[in-house]
Amino acid sequence: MSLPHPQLDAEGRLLHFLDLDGLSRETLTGILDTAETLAPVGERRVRTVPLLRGRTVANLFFENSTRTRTAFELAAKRLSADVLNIDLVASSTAKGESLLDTLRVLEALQADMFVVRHSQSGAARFIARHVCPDVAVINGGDGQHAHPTQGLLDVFTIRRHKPDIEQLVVVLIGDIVHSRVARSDLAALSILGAAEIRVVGPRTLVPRDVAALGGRFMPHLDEALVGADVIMGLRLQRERMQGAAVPSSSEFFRHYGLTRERLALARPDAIVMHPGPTNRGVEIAGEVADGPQSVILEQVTAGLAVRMAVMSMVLGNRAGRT
Amino acid sequence: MSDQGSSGAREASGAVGGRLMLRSVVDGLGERIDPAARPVDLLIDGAAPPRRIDGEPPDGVPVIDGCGLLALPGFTDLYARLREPGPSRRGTLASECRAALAGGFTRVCAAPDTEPAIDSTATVELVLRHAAAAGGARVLPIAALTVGLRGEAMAELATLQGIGCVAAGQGDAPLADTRLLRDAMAYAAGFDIPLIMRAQDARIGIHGCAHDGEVAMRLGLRGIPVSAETIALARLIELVHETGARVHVSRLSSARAVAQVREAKAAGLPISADVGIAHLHFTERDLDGFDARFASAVPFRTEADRDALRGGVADGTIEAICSDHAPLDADALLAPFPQVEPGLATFDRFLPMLLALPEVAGIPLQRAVEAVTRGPAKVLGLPPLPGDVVLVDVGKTVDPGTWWSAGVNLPVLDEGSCTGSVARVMMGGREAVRSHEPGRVE
Amino acid sequence: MSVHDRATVDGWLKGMVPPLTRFVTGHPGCAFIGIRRGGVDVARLLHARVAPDAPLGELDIAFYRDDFGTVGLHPTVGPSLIGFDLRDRPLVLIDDVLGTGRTVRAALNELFDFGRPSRVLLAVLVERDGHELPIRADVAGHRLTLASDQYIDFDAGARTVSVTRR
Repeated sequence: MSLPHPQLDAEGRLLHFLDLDGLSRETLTGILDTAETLAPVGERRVRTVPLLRGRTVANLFFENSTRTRTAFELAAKRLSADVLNIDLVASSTAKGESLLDTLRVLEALQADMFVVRHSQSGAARFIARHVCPDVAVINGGDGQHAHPTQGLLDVFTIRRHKPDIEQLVVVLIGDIVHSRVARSDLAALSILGAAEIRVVGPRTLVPRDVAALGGRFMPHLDEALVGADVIMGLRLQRERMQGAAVPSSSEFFRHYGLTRERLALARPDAIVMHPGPTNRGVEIAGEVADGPQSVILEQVTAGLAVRMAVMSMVLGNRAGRT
Repeated sequence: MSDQGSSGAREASGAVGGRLMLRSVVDGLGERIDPAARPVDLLIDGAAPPRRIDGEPPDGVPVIDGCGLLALPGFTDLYARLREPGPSRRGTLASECRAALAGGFTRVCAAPDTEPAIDSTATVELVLRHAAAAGGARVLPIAALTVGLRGEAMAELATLQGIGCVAAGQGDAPLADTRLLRDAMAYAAGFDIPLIMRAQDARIGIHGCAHDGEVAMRLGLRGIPVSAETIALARLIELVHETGARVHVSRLSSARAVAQVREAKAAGLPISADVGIAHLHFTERDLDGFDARFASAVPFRTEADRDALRGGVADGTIEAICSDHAPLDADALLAPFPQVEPGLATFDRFLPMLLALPEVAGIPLQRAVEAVTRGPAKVLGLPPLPGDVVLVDVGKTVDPGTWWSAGVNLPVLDEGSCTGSVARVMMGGREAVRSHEPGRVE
Repeated sequence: MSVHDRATVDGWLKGMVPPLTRFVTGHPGCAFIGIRRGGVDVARLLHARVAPDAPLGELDIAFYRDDFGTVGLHPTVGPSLIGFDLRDRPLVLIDDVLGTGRTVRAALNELFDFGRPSRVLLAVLVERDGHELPIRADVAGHRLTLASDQYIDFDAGARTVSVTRR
């Protein structure tokens, strides 16, 4: 009775990349390994490989994001693809044109791939279900649901520092309820079998059923940091800070901010991560974000390799079809 | 109190005065319903209870060959959106009143949230007139409790009752102003106007599109917590206590709310309740994967909630099962889940879903039929309609490509719930005629 | 199936040493690069015998193949390992088998994305017929003519070459 997930073909290979739900450890590891092989491309004289030469990738961003869009654009260009950036924030959707009608117009671009970012949960899957079958859809973030390339680049970064994920204690801090990054991180870490995923934040920002995502809620940050190998801070959006779910950013920082003192409670070789952009003094102290344990900048480069891997694998899986 | 109901419809369908004989039907019109019982012959009379007859019918009484089918009383629906007045792409009284017959309903309470809302005599008269012309189920309008359903000012409840509204309510529009609610309830109590109210907080869960549970959490969908229902229900119960208004709680969704209703009834309060047929079948799991076919204004909650709703029907805490019919056109469903218009067009699949209840929900057939006949009639004090009989083919598999409603958002039936079809409908002792073929979709 | 035993294969390798030694002597700074996977083993063997002090690299051509559109992404072992600058450097490019020439074409394209070599010498253990591109080995251990349904497999551990029918 339920609809099949459009992202996998009959053999379980990725035809789209929409979310990490239901993906196997082998699939994820395969993407990470391919990303490792693609990562050095950026160090060479010619920073491209010809895999996607002649293909067109269209960035369909219904929601603003310069950094993610640039990351996808660069990844596509490194694969020698042509890139179209379509800004849909102000234009047609504001005029009331339905998403479906917008898609029909965009199909005329004859792109091989759409990278989609949208404010509604489920938008990427909706687009994958309704777009013509020749187009591969990559989810660049849909509402509060998923940001699968972010989830992957986070575990890629973790794996580089701590290869045995099954031994790791990972701590996620902050707004889980509204965070697609958190959902994708939880999914990636669960699939790869992280030993323990602790989730810390005010009760208004951590879902009651977070155990179903593989997370263990802990109310106090200090306690949660003991024995932590990886600490992941999450962005606290301004709307939440204005008395909505949290009384103020300073109260949040006092109880949930990652300071140097708190970091010292974790294992001495623990790494600090954040998907960016960071709110210094809210989620994380500036000195920690810039400190020796921070791998925040690495996450950005990781994003490039992971997105190159995802794009080439998805289009590679569609090889031999018309 | 005047005999509710469209007088026009009464004339058109012959609510009084028709008689016919049903030859060879299984008698499901009484206390016990046994679909396997031996068929008998029944005399159906618009003005008197049905009775067995042997041999030939009285002079001039037409005979209908029942073919051994099950005869049930025509159903009464306490809540359905008939979409008129309003944009016709979502349905009209013509299409939806005929679709109602396909569900076994001969009497339907029309939701007040038409466009414009049922808050003026002109709108009520339009509804009654068009319903009569449609020749389908009888329509009993529910008046809007507040003007335009905006929750700011009481509508002319007494006047609307006088011209045919059987109850008043807010549809799916929440009412924030508690003082206004109290006044409206007290006023309605004074005229003995029953209220059909969905328990719905004005702020909690107002932007949600799914039950606030595991599935919504995983999919990143804004949730509608149980407290959105229980807090509003507690408010209603307290106000019933204070004002003496008769309140029928419409379309329950949670186990806690069933418990609240049970408790309020035990305390002797004039409270009744119903549940939508779909909520006896589906849960939050069904919308997993962003399945827009299960987007519903009243959320499908957990299995425990569904089981409690089933238990409530079985033990009589929930008197009635309604259709909560909400026809939508194809465009309404073609958007990401949070932007989809919620609702299911249940009329055309109501019967198989009802007949599946003994097997899938542990609700005996007797009780299920009662919940769509005597139960709803009792809630609103409606007169019995002995001349309203539906002949049901219990074993006929549903044809997924056939339906009457203008809506395309029919419930998705699983294997255990797809048999049962209305073969013929009698209203007021005369056969109701459906003059158009049902719609087909490739 | 027929097998060329270790002694035979060693003979082929031995035959490749003199021309490669001449090349290395005439081109200072020369580096050896093996194409994954069979070419890496052959490269190691030749490198050890001809110029053990020369730089040695491995090339993974997965991202330069010409069949992405029909077959998709080939699995990779890891990134190419070229730990030295290719610019203006002479190279000995080594593979186990040269057949259609497409692998070498991909390898050349990739090498030039690393840097522009001054000269590339192609050395293969076995060159067979069936060329689909104008690419020929400069140095070949052995040359074979086979049917189109026959293929060659180099077993680096046993140092044998087998010819099998599909």
